[in-house]
Parts: sequence; structure tokens; C-alpha cells
Amino acid sequence: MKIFGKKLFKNNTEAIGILLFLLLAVLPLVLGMIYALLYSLGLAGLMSHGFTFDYWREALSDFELWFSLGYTFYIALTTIALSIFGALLLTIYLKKPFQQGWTGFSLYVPLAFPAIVVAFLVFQLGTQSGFFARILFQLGFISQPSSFPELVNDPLGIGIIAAHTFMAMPFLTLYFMNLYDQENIHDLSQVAQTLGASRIDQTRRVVMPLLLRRAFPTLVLYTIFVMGSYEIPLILGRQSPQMISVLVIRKLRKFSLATIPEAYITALIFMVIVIAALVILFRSKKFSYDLDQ
Amino acid sequence: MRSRTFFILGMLLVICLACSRSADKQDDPTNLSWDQILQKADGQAVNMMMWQGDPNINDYMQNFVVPEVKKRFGINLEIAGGQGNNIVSILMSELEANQSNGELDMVWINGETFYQLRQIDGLYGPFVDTLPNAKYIDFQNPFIKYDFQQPINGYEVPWGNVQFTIIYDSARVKNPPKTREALAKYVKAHPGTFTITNDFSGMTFLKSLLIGIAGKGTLSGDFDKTKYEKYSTQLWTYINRIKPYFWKEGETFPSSVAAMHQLFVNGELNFTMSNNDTEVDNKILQGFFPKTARAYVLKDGTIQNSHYLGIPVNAPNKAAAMVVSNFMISPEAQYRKARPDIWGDGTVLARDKLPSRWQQKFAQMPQRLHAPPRDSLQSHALQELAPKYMIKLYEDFREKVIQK
Repeated sequence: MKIFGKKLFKNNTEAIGILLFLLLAVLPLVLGMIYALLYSLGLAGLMSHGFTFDYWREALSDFELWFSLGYTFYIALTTIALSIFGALLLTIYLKKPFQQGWTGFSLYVPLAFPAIVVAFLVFQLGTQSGFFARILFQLGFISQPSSFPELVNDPLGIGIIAAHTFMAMPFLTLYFMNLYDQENIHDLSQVAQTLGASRIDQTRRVVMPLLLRRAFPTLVLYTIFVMGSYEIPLILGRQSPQMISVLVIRKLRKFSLATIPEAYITALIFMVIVIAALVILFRSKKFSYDLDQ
Repeated sequence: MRSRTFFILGMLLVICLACSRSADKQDDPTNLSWDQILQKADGQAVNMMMWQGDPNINDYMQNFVVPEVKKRFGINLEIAGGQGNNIVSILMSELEANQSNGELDMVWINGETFYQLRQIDGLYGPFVDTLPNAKYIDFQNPFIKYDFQQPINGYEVPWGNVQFTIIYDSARVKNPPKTREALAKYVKAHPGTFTITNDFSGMTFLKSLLIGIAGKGTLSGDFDKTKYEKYSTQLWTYINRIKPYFWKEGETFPSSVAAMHQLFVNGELNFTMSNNDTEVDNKILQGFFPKTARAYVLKDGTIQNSHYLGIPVNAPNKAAAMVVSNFMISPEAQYRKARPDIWGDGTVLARDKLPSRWQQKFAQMPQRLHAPPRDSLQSHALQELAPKYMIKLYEDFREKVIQK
């Protein structure tokens, strides 16, 4: 690896910059992963009794881990799909009003909320004794507040998805609207129209593919961000299945100190899956967003 | 090649950090006289980590203990928020990194944390005998001498004593169920209004039920697998039989007692629970619980336990931490803490060991209004079980109840 090779870097400043990045951002992460690995093999930690595969055997055969991983993917992909869908609709059909005045400002409001506040908000609004349940009860739509549908601590993670979508959709809308202007999509769309494309064709074959192609890395990173979220699933999720971060922290802080290595293993498996997915996704650039292909 | 060298160096660094434990001995204040300890403590700062989830407790600490120790002993007591698991993870990382001067001088812990800290040799001691006010404590009282069946052996100072209670709203529940059978009957007749938390309080409740099933004293002593299997099977059968009538059909459980309190005041639940028998009075005074909330214990009894103060093995200011601990078990500080309008935490001092002036004061203390008098709870007090029971209950509750 020629770090200082002239082929790799234009000048020393760039080399120093990259070195600092490696030192401050990558090295701690790598060391953390090594430490987790050592811990999981019984080679580190106050409670270690020497090298063993027992923790790995235990962790890998734990159904809860795989269930939790599946649940985490489900939540993240559903959130991102809903958010993309909503953001595209807003960008394509309501771009003008959302770029000016109070309507435009309102898009920024959800971005100012920390995740934990959004989680509490959704909790207060969505529980069976919450705001919506009481209103519907007062209006006579339901016979008692508890017959309000389960939106929080529910089996499908509706509360978690709602909270994440509340934060992601405005973010993606703003992002898409900026891309729309930057990439001159309006002009390209008009060219397509001149060439005979219908309104639907313009959207399906020009606007959406261009937006999604440019936004792809951000969308992938946002998905990973949702997968690793903690406060929202902690407050709005169920005791089982739990999203991966909640599961890791639970194992890390359990009454029994013997499960700490398992917590590290869970985190390691999650990191490996995410890194592998990133490598595969960013390597193959042959994605087509043209919805007819 | 370079990346490989880099990797190996990194590995070595981590291994060195993880494996080396220095033999540095801190200066040990227990070798000093109390006057010397007081002298040493003067001007020192004490970092105390404790749970800060209750305004009454915070108020007692910030507006009484902090100024008093400053005034009397010149000690700057600084309080940081953190529960048992925070304390354990901080100490574990410090000890793993071989940090001889830790971040914490004093910690507020219960049996769960005591068990973990003793496992990692995280506590300094024995030091309790050195404290002059320890003479007022009856260390033969089993609710003080043993913490989760483990003898405290001078490694933690008893600070308060509480008993688990069930809280209900007397406006909604006329005759609260006092036995397992009555509870099952109530839950079936009023579906969705009862649940247990998947945390320390919930497990303490399950432990009380388990002892009730096994019979008082049967599970005392070390963890007994055969006995546990036998009685816990009965416990899970009992719980699973009524689980469909729990809150949310028993498909999920509140993760903490705070969440359960919220559901109780919202009217979703008719019951909540507390590890502190005076909490019901506190919460009514704060306006959080309805005035009709009441606390009671099961006929078969509920767990009574003490909570303690400990000094981490790598605490930089042990002498000052000892002086603060000693003040916190003084009759004055304990009396104030026990008053229901202040905190309502049961005292650890034995009344007959106190000077007569304090005996009288304790006897005349205003009583709480919404929970049974403490003396009447004593006959329904159950001792904590060995820690392994708690570990198994947590695991099995997840496997045999939540995931079922």
C-alpha cells in the first residue's frame, strides 16, 4: 500500500489529510473491532478465562440474533422505501410550494428534532391511551381508548417506522429538491417532452432515475443509519424482537456479565454484514433506475 | 505489507492494554485513625455516581448532603447520574485499561451491582468497620448483612432499606388481589389492566412469586438448579396461564418501571409496582399519581432489600468518600432521609443502638399515608435470593414468557 506514493495523492497536504483520517477515524474503529474480537474469543476482559469459541457457538446458535437482524433490515428497508416514495412525490409534484415561504420552512422543522424527542412524541401520540386514541374516543369513533389500533410497541414496528419516516422524509425531500436543481432535471425533462415523452414517461424515465442514481450513496448510508438507531426502537419497540442496537446494549448491560462477549459478537456480525453490503453495492455500478428496464 | 504490520501492531497494543493489570497499591485509609482520615479528606472532591431518576432523592442529595459535607468536612461532593450498569461498565473499562486513578469515588448500588462489582474485584474494602457511625447499624440483621445472599463483609455501607410493593388505584380496584390465585382471577376478569416490567422490579416481583410457590426459606442459600427448575416451571405455567389477559395480551411488556407508572397514570393499567414502599406517597405528593393510589404487599410476602454505598477499588479520594459515607449513615442524615415528605427511605440504623434522643425522634416520625406502616410490612418481608436466580429469571422470562 503506497500511502505516500505520488500516484495516489496529488500533494503532501492530501496525503496528510488522508493519514489523519485513517488515524482519527479508521484506526479507532479497527482497534475497536479487534478488541471486540479478542473479547469474544475470551482473550480480553476482566472475566476472560482464556481462548474459547464457546461465546461464538452460543451467539451464532441463538435464534434471537438472526431474528433481530431480519427485523432490523425489515424496519430500515421499509422506512427508506416509504421515505423515498414520499420524498419523490413531494419533489415531483409539490416542489414549488415547498421551496418558498412557511411551507418550505416546515420541511426543516422535523430535522431539528433529536431522535429521542421524536420517539417520545410518537409514543405520546400513538399509544392506546395517547392523543389520537383520546380524540377518536371523544369523537365517538371508538368505544374505548384501548380499542385504538396498536401503533406503538406493536409487532410490525409501525411506531418505529413512523418515527424514522418522520425524520427521513423531509431530509430526503430537501435533498432531492436540491439535486433536481443541481442536475438541471427540469431542463432534461423538457427535452424529453420535446422528443415526445408523456408526463408519466418524463417522471418514470428521466426524473426518478436521475434523482435516485445521484442519491444512491446517501440513501444507502441513511439505511445504515436507521439500522443502527437506538433510542427510537428502545422506546417504541417491543421486548421481542428487538432491533440490533437495542439487543447489543441489552446483552452488554445484562445482569450476567457472562453475556458481554455475546454482545460484542452481535455487534461484530452486524458490522461485517453492513461492510459486506456496502462493498457489494458500491462495487457494482451497473444499477439502472429506469423503471422500464 | 505495511497494512499487515499496522494490523499486527494494533493487535499487540490491544493485547497489552487488555492483559496488563498493574499491581499499584493505592494508599489505604483503613490504616489511618478517623481523625487522620478526616484531615486527609478536608478539601478533597468526591465524585459520586448514583441513579438520579427521582426529584425527592436528588433534592435530598443536592440540598442537604452536598452542602452539609462541604460545611462540616470541607468536602466537595459532586454527583453524576448513572445506574448500576453504567457504574459497572465504567469500572470494567477502567480496570481493563489498568487505570489506577478512576473517575468515581463513591457509588450507590444495590445487590445486582454489588454482585457484578465483586465479580470484577471492583470494590474497595473492607472499610465499613472504620466508620464511627457503623456502630448504630445491626450487621446481624439478615436484610443488611446479606446482599442477594452474599455477605457484604465490609465492602459496602448500608444506606437505606425498602420493600417491594404493588401499587393500585383504589378508585378503580376495590379489593386488590393479595394472593396468586386472587391475582389470576382478577387479571382474567379485567383483561389488559395488569402487567409486569421486564426489568429489575418485574424480576423482583417474579422472585416474590417464586418464593411464594416454593415456600419461605426453601430457596435460601446458594443457587440450587433442581429446586429452581422445579419451582420456576410452576411459576411459568402460572404466568403463561394468565398472560393472554395481561396488557397487550402479554405480547410485550413495559421495559421499565417508569414506563409502567406512565401506563398506570394514563389509566391503561390498574396496577404498577415499586421497589420502594414509600414511593406511592412520594408520587402522590408530586402530583404524579392520583390521590387514590395505594400500596400493598402480597400475603406470601414481597422482597425486602437494602441499598448500599460503595467505594471503587481505584477511587482517587477514598478517605473523603469514607467521610461522606459516614455522614450519610449518621442519625441526622438517616432521619431526614426517612421522612416521607423528604424521601421516605427506610433507615438502616437499629433503633435500640441509637442515643435516646434519636430513638425518640425516630419513634415520633410522621408516618406515610398511602402504604401500610413499615413495621407491619416486616412480617411479610422476604430475603433476596442468590444472584443466579435473578439471572435465570431474566433469561427464562424472555425465553419462556416473552418469546412464547
